[in-house]
Amino acid sequence: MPVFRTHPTRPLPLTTPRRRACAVAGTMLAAPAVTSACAPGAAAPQQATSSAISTSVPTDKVSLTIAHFESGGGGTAIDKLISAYEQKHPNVTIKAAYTSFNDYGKSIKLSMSSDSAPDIAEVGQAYTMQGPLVKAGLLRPLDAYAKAYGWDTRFQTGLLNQSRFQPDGKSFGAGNLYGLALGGNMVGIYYNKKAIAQLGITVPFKDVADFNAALAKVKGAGQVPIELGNSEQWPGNHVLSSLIAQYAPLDQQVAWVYGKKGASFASAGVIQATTTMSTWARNGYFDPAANGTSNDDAVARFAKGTGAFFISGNWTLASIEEKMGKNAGFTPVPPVTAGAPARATGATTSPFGISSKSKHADVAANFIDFMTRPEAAQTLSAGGYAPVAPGAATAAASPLQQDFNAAWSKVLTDDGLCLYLDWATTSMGDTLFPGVQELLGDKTTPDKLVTAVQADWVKAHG
Amino acid sequence: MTAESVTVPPGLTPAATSQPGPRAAQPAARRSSGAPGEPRLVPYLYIAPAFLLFLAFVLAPLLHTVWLSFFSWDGISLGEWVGLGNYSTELADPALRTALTHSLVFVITFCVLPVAVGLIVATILSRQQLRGLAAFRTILFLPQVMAMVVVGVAWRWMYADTGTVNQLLQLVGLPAGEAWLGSFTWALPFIGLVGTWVMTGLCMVLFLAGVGNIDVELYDAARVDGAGAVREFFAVTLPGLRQELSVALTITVIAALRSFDLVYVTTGGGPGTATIVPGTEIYRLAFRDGQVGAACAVAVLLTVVIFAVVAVITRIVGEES
Repeated sequence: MPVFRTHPTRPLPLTTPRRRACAVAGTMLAAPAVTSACAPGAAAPQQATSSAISTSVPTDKVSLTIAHFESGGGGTAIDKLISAYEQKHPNVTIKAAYTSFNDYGKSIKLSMSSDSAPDIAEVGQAYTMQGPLVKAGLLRPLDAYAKAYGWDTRFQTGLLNQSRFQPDGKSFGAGNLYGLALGGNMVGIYYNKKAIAQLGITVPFKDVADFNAALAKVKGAGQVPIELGNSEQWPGNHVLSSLIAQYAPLDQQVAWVYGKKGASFASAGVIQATTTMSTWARNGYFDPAANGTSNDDAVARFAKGTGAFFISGNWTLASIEEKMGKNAGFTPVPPVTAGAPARATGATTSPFGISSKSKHADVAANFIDFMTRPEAAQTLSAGGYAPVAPGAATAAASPLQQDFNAAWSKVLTDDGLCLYLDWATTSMGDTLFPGVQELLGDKTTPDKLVTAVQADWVKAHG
Repeated sequence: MTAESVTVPPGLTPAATSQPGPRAAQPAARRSSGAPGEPRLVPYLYIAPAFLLFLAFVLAPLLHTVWLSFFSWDGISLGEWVGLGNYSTELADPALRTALTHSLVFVITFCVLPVAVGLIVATILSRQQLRGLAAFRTILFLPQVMAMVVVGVAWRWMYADTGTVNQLLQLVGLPAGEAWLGSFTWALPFIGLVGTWVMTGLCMVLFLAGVGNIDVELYDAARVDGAGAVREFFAVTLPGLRQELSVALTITVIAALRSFDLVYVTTGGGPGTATIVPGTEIYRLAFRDGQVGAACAVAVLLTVVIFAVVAVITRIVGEES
């Protein structure tokens, strides 16, 4: 019988443990010398100080790519504008690259820093998308184009400021212009017409006290006053910011969002607004399942009759209209004092910027100008964009859309867009949104929430 | 070379041994190098393709992560060397400590419960001849085959306030109607129970297979010595399942500590911070807060913790020879 060699009972290690530890320690000590020479990422390229720009389109063949995350009507509008532009300039081909919003945010930094970066990219305001790209020098300043095309007279200063960034990427709202938006969005109150008619509630609400009384009435009748789906954490913060828009002075809030020195979240107005929301939560004015229901499910419930009110923005309009038809209405969140200027949570939609690596910046700017001219307003509004240019023609609209348009133009006229709270710092969303969930669940107090938010702001802005 | 004698195994007829012994004519095996007994280099060529893939897609990214953890980096701008700064910041961060505490809850529901249930079921079924055991095993194993994201979405619907779980609770007469994933108290354990559902099948299948390998005579011997069911379990079943126990504990503990997709899909870490786990913290730091270096530091810390736990399990439970 052949003799089989038995394997040793313990496998021999490739190196002894002590040798391995020394190797690791050696690498770590040597690391600074090696790695300071090769840190990850790339330094911002030297900004080509304004080479002369041109507002005319060259006649040779040009090919552009535009990256965006607009789905549904918004995406269709962009496609329509692309074909109209290609008809006007047959030598220009524009390729649209759509990525869904969730994936877009994760990949935009990579694609903009690659050699095949898109010429035009939709880059959201504030520190998640625009900030890092500006800091890395990957977005081209557009001030020269703004002057040449007259963007600074076409749009309100406040709207353009949202796309302005300091070149070091540390604060925004002032500095170079890095993008131009196609439309706007705003938060308001959707209401179930049948439900409020039954209880004798009328819209629009004169003031916050009027809305409070309506909520109490609905609750008294045994129904859910405000339907809310907050499991994804961000919808609840729109309720809070809508209240803050009414209670806190606009310029104070905007300065805080923009990171201006000395601005504070812990102001009287903000605390009043947070207390109001906390009181609503304790009085049971929100759907008790709010923290465990998704936003889409909440829209479906609201459409089926749960909840007299649904506080959301015009991004939900198409869905609500499809489900509720003529039974849905939209009314703005009322001011604290009747007759005060209109204030709302809202901003421009994500602006379109030009990559600093683009070889056809002039043509790209020309196309962006084309998309934002009054002639394009019809196409854009048909795609669901709230118009940001004054006096822009709007497509024939449904009653719900007309409700929104009326509220939107009043806010624009009163220059009352209060931006979004999570724009204030890179990590604000992760501080504020869970805090609002806790506020809804009565697990925190208004003071604690406001303190935590301001602490996050101070950490980022000093 | 000495001629080896051929010993006849018992039971073989004498006729078979009249054939010439094949061993006597065999030439000496050729060795390329090394003393007798030393491993040859040829086997390494066999594992080279798989090892190269492992190197490229597992080892290299791991080392890259360790390197990135020494920088403060937002993902595109030039990173800044901070040495162990990320580690000290993250270890001091209360959020990370909360996350680790939550993953301990997962260790109980992903690891301890499924292993316990698996052992009990395997013991009960060890002496029965269950009809259709193969089909039973397949069905039990199905949750393992499903992607965690799919599992998370399905359970998210089931845990809704009008979902299946509440309907079942109502049938039994227990309090129902709460949106369980929105509860600050119940969201974490209920997500943990999803892990139990996923892991129990794996443990049961492992232990059923292992129990089948335990020599029946050992059980008979235990019976003869007067052992009851419990004594039998500790004296015969458990030692016999040592290998399977080590495997089951290792797989489930790793799944518990590194879980991300289940939490991300069900609650995203909410409500508030009630269900944050190290996996979601890494994701938050890297993709939302733009702190890639800090995320890598947490990832390295998590890897070290998992290695330590698995080393302990293997040392205590693993086969000793």
